[in-house]
Amino acid sequence: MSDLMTVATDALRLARHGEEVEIFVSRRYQTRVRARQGTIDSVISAESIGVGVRVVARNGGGEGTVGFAWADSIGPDVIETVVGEARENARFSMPEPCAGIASPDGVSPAELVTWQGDVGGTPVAAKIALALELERRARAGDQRISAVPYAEYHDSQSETALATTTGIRSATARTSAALSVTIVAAGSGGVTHSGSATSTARGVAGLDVDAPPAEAVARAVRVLGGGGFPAGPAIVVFDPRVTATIMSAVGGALRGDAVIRTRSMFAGRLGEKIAAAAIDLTDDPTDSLASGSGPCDDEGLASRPVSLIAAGVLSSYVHDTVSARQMGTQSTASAVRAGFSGTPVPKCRALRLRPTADSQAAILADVGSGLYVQSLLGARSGISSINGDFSVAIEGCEISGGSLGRPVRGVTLASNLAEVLRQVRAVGDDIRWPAGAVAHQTIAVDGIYVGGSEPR
Amino acid sequence: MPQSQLIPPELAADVLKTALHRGGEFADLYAEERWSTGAVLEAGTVGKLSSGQRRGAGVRVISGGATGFAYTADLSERGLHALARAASAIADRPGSAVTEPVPVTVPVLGAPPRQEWPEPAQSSRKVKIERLRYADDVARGVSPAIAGVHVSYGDSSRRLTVANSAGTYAEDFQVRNRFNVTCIVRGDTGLQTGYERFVRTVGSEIFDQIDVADMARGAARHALTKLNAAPAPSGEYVVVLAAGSGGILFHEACGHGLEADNVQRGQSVYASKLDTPVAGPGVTFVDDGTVPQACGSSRIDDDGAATRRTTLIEDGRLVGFMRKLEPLRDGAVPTGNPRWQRSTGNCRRQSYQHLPLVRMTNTFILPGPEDRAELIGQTRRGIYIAKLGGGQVNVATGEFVFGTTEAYLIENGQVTRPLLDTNLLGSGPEALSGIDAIAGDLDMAWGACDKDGQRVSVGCGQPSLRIRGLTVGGHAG
Repeated sequence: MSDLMTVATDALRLARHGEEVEIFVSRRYQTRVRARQGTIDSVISAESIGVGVRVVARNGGGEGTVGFAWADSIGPDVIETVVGEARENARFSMPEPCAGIASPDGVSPAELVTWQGDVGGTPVAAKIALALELERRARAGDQRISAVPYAEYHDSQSETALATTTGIRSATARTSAALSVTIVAAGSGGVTHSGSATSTARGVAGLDVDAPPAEAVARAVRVLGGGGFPAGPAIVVFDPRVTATIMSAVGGALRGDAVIRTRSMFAGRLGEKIAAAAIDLTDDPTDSLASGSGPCDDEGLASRPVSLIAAGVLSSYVHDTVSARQMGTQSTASAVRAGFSGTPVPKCRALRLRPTADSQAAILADVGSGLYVQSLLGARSGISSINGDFSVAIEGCEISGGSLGRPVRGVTLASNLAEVLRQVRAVGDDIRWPAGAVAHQTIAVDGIYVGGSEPR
Repeated sequence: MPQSQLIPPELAADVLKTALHRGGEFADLYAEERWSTGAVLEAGTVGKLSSGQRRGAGVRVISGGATGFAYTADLSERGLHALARAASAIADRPGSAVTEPVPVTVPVLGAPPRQEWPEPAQSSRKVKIERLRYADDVARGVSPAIAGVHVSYGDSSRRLTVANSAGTYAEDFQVRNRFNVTCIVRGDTGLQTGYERFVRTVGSEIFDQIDVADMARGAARHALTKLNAAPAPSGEYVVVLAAGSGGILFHEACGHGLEADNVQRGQSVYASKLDTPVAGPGVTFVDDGTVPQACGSSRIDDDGAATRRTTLIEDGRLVGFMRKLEPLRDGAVPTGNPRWQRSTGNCRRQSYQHLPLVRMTNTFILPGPEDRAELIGQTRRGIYIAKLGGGQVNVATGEFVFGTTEAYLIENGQVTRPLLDTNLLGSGPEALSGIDAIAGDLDMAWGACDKDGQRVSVGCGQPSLRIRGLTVGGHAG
């Protein structure tokens, strides 16, 4: 048993009669090295540890009240205080019919490799050397690069342990390593544009020091300068990063808690056709390639693939224990916490679309002419999971003759997520998982309204 | 404010000596303790009562211009020395020039101790729940179209100590409170949301200052208005920003370019514009960490320097940048803290787990001579923005996109139809130069500002003002 699990199970002794208690303990080591202009800018080494406690007080019947508390240390006296605070918070909360923490549901966790020993085993000096090498290659890489604001090595080793009075014992351990670079490319007439790219892997050995500079410069150069695009409906191809932003908003609308709280455009639509027939959307945290994969969710239930849209039909939402109970169904093991200081919420963990096309090149060739969208500006404020409407500014380029052409900027896209899902014509198999809970892959969508602008 | 010191000055000095034992020209220690609580009302039920505590320290060592940083939650004497040794490894990095450690000046109090500390921020659980439920009741009573109400409360109290090798030792105690009401309504235009938000540097007196019923009615009205809203037009329009609604735009699209670290890295459009006109005449833009109760206010910044007002743009001309303490790079022993003169009190950290950055406190445009009604009255066709939402900006160019959350059409000098949420596009320099009328009704709002992965609360504001020509990007129109 890990030392964290010992801490978590020991703390369960503080539970009182009539209470369900959940103890979540986590620890994370991180190293971050930033290089600039051939030298080291900063080296950060960090250890953080903490505990989050949920107490559900039962008042005899099926109802319960929930309280939560957390602290960023795990000494026995601290945990005792935190359990007391959580209990006091529960005492003041209003009863909820479906309150509760998870119970074992008999599904066994998948065997996944999410830990690489070389993250902890590589000396800091070697990590510093990697950051310096990345920065050097970025500066030497391409004549159009006018500056490298920074190049960075980052890694993390995180472990969690979760124990409950309902019999859950689950532990996770995961590592990640990344090399990121941002470059500024200069074009004719003093026009500049920045581009960034990251290589991510489970361990240090999996990192690619050449790919990020090349990708960053390609992205910057592709949109240097740029003019308008004719207003009206167009076939739009979304860059893999943009697809991730859009599908992340779709994933937000598939959250069980959003559905219950009338904050989702997909509420009440199970079994209905909501997307093109070719669309299969799955959240599969047992795919060890996905950055968000892991044997269990953050309530300790074994991860399982969840089919959300099958052949265009809405087949499921993602649930944690509470949202599942509220909707009279089972948890999909989709509980996610924002560290020890957050309570679990249902969220997608490894969302991807089933590919229908071989590559981005094949998609572009099929589309022939249209608009390639490399990045969205204003996506954070501009896409609503509540009604699906979005209106965002974009940067990208024209697609002509089946390949990428002149840069486009200063135009907007206005549509609706539901409309996008209905109009998807192709999904690329260029799946990558640089970070986060959503796959990066190219998609092509018919007939999105482009709010054009005159070339300046 | 608890009476005992988080880190006594003598211990701080010892830890700083350990931090510099392998060499380096500067070291600092930042320790904090933070308590926070929150509560949420959703679907008619008060739940998610939470309490948290954070306690830890970060040590920074600068050697040959490179920064080593480490942090820990262990504030014991042993833990702090281990932390200082971890941060000092920067002085041993491959290829580094050997620098002699500077002598550590025993820290002295940087500012006279405060006579009266604020009370902790927390209200009792009973009071919080009562206010949440009252807001919910009032909002639901406004209209049968209300489909959902979300009310949230949060507070934090934070005690901190900053000490550095140049002899600074400072302490502070800071409190903050927030109360938000969001309403969702259902109607012909689908689901629409409206909100009211209060965030201030105040303690438990928050409930003497706000009328939660007013906020609830405001949020409900805001959402209901959108049920009758029309899609926004697209194109270039005259934009009138209501007082307090658009401060975030100037914060993001101009303020960040006036932060010294962005300027030094060449990531600012304003880098070479000092003493030149950058805004319309009459536009004065300041940063002021001393505004009572504003979200970005504090007595000292996170370097321990006193906060103050810094004029950035005066009558349209760029006159200054925001700065934090910049330690000497030549290893010379600072005497009398010469570099304090250079700080404008704009150093902030999200927590002890973060490196200090140059950040804004409360940034706003000063009032002008015009009348608000006139600004609208003189506008034949334009957009009136009552609330602006989140946005995105390219600091290097000042280009921005902001989402509107409450906007109306101006036709023949009158505010007419409400508009569905849309985007405002432009560039900070263009927006500043395009300001052609400023009213006298300055108001401030809260903003969450992200920089280098760190989030802090800021105040931002402006009086009602008019901008000639911003791009409005909406649906077809």
